[in-house]
Amino acid sequence: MDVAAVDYWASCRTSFLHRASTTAKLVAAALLLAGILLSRDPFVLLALYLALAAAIVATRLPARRILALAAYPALFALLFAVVRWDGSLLTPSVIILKALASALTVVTVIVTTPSPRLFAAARRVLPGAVAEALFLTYRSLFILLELMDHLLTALRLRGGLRRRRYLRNGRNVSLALGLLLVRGTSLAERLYDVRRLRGHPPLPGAQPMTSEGRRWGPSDPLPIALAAALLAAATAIRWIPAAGAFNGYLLLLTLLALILSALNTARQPSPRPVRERTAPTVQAAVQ
Amino acid sequence: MPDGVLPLWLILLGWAVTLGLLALSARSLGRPERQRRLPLIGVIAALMLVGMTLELAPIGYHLNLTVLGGILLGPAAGFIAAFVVDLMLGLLGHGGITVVGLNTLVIATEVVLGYYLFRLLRHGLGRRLALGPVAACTTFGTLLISTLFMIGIVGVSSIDPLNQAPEAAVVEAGTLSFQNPLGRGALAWELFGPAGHEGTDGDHAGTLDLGAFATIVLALGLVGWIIEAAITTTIISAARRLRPDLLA
Repeated sequence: MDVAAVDYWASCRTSFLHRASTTAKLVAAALLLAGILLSRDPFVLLALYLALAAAIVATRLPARRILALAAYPALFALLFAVVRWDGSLLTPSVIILKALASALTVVTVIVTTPSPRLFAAARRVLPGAVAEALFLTYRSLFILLELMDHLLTALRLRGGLRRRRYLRNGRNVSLALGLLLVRGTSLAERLYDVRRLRGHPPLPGAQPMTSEGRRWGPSDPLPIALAAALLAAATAIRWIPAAGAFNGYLLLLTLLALILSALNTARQPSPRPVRERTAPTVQAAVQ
Repeated sequence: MPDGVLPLWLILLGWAVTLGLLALSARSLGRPERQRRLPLIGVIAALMLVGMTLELAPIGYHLNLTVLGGILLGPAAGFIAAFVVDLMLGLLGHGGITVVGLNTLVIATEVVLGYYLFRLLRHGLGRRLALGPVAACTTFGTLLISTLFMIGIVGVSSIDPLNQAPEAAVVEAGTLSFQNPLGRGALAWELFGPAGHEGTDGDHAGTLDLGAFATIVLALGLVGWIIEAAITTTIISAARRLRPDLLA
C-alpha cells in the first residue's frame, strides 16, 4: 500500500482522467460499481475489469503497480470463494472478479485525483469534523511515513534489524512505533497550537476546492459516457435473456480496448522519470 | 471484507448505522473538545495506516493498532478515527469501498471495546494491574470479539453473489457461455457447464459454509492476535516511559 506513490501519481501526473473533474470521476465510478454489483456474469465482470485496466494504461501511469495495488482484496475474496465452493467455478469466479473490479474502480479514481479534492467532495455527505479528520490524517500520514522511514533506517544502521531474527526485529519495530506514537502526539499538539493561534481556520480539504473552480469541463463527459455504456451493457446482459449471448462480444471489445490502449501508450515517448518516494517496509530495511 | 460478497440490504444498513454513529460521535465531542482532539485523531489514524503499511511477516501480515487507537482516543474520537482509516483503506483498494460502513463497525468494535476493556482491567477490578498484561489481554480479547462480530455479519448475510439483485431467479451456469451468435459452434466455448452445479430449481447454488469460514478466520486470526498483543504491549510500555501522560 504505497501511499506516497499514489499521491504522486494523482498530483504530479496528467492524463485525460486527471483532467476530468472529481465529480465526473465519482459519478463514473458509481456507475461502474453499480454495474459490478449488479452483474452475475463472470465474462461481464472480466470485461469491466479489462475496461478499467485499459483506462489505467491510457493514463500512462505504472499499470502493473496499480493493478497489483488493486489486487489486494482478491486475497480476502478468495477466502469467501473457498467457503462458498459448490463444485463449480461460477461462484468463486464471480466473487473474486467482483472484488477485483470494485477495487480497481476505486483505485482508478484515487490515482488520478488528488486526495484533498476527494475529501472536499466527501464533505458534502460527511459531518464537518469527520471531513477535517480526513484531511488531518492525510496530512499527518506523510509526516509519519517519513519519520518511520528514518526510524527503520536508524534501526538497520545500528543492527536492530537482521535477517531471521524475527523476535528481535519485532521488538525493535514495536519500540520504533512507540517512539513514532510519542512524536506523533507531539505533532498533534503542535498542530493544535498552530491552529489555535490562527483562530482555527477551515482546513483546505474541509471546504469546496474553489481552485478546481469549474463544475464540468471538456474532459468530463468521456469517463461518464464510458461508464454509463458499460453499466447499460451489464444491465442488458443481466436482465434481457437474448442479450446474454453477447457477453463474449463485450469481453472481446474491452480486450481490444486494452490492447489498443497499450499500443497507443507504447508509441508515445515515456514521461520523464521522477524518483518516487516509497513507503518504508521492514523487509526493505532488513535487506 | 471485499465488495460484492454481501447483500445490498446489509451494506446499506451498515452505512446507515455508521453514518448515524459518526454524527453522534462528532456531536458528542463538542466544539472546544473537537478542536483539541482533531489533530490527535488525525495522527492516531495516520499511525494506524502506517502500521498497516508495515508488513512484518512474509505472509503479508500487517498491524492494525486499532486497540491502541481506542485506548488513546476514547470511544467517540476513536470511532471517527476508525471510519477515517477504513475510508482511506477503501480508497486505496485495500478493502471494499461499498462495505466501508460494515468494516468501520468491525474496526470501531476494536477501538471502543479496547478502550473500555483497558479501563476495566487497569482500574476497574479494585486494584491497579500491571500495564503490560493489561494491554496484552485487552488487545487479544478485543480482536477475538471483533473477529466473532465479523463472522456474525457474514453469517447473517447468507452470502450469495449470484443473488445480489432482489429477485428470485438464479442464473444457471449452463446459460453462462461464451458464444458467438454469428457462428454457433465455431467459437462456442462453455466454461461453466451444468456439471457440478446444483440448485436448478431456483434455490441458491450451494450455501456459505459458515463453520469452515469461521475456522479459517479464527485460526489465522489467532496468530495475528498474539502478534498484535505483543506489539501493542511493547508500544504502550515504550510510550509510557517517554510520555506517561498519554495513558493517564
